[in-house]
Amino acid sequence: MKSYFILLFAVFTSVFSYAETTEDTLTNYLTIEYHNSIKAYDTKLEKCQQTSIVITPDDVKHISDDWNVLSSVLSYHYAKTQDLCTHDELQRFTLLSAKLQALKDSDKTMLNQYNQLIMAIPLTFERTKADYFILPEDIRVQFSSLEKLNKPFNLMKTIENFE
Amino acid sequence: MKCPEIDDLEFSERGKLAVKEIRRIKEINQWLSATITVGTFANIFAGNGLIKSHYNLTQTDFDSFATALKSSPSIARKTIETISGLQAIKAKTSKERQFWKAVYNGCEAAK
Repeated sequence: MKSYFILLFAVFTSVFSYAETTEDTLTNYLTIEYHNSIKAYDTKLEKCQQTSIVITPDDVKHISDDWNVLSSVLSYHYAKTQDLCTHDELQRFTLLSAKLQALKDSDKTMLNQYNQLIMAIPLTFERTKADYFILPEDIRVQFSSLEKLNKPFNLMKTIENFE
Repeated sequence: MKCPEIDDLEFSERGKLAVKEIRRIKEINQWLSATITVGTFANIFAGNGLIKSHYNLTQTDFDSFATALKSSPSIARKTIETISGLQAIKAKTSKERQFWKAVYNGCEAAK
């Protein structure tokens, strides 16, 4: 009877420690993948921003030459095209972040800090909608139909073209 | 790298929000990277106090900011670039635009 209890205790202990090791391995694995996803997002952002496409006043003057309108349109379309360009990488980051958040032993402070940092760009993009969606619909439709505005473009060179 | 001096810089409400956002990124940046110290960012982005209506920015302010930005992690740099770039489009005055362009370019193309 005594040896039966010893055996039972040994089995219980080894199962528990195996489960703990597996959980540690999972957290470590997902943390590495998480950092890789940040790097991938960073690299993709760089790639999306490195474009020679520039919007000129000639591209848009038949729709509007009002800078208040144009600045809202350019901000919104820049944000939209960049957001689309980095969509897959951002999605992978958010999924890994959510998985790690759900693990008991993950570093929640680190996850929170990185989340605030990585989401700062998508949130900035969201803010461009406020100025854009107050424009009349027919104006928005005309701008949206311009092919050049539907691909990533160089923001600073575009601004300089309108100065 | 030529950083501008901007006297009597006045921020729009959006501009003030963007300064707040960059201050927040700076704090996260410091947490993530122990090598970046509080004093290296321009005074405008330092601290948590109210954002003033007017600033007089010296070249030294910008130089220290540009140096801090260079040594920041790439993703933090791109975040600050994106915020400042979009702010440059929406700037209400030429001085405000000059400021955001300088932040975006790390002073390199400041006019």
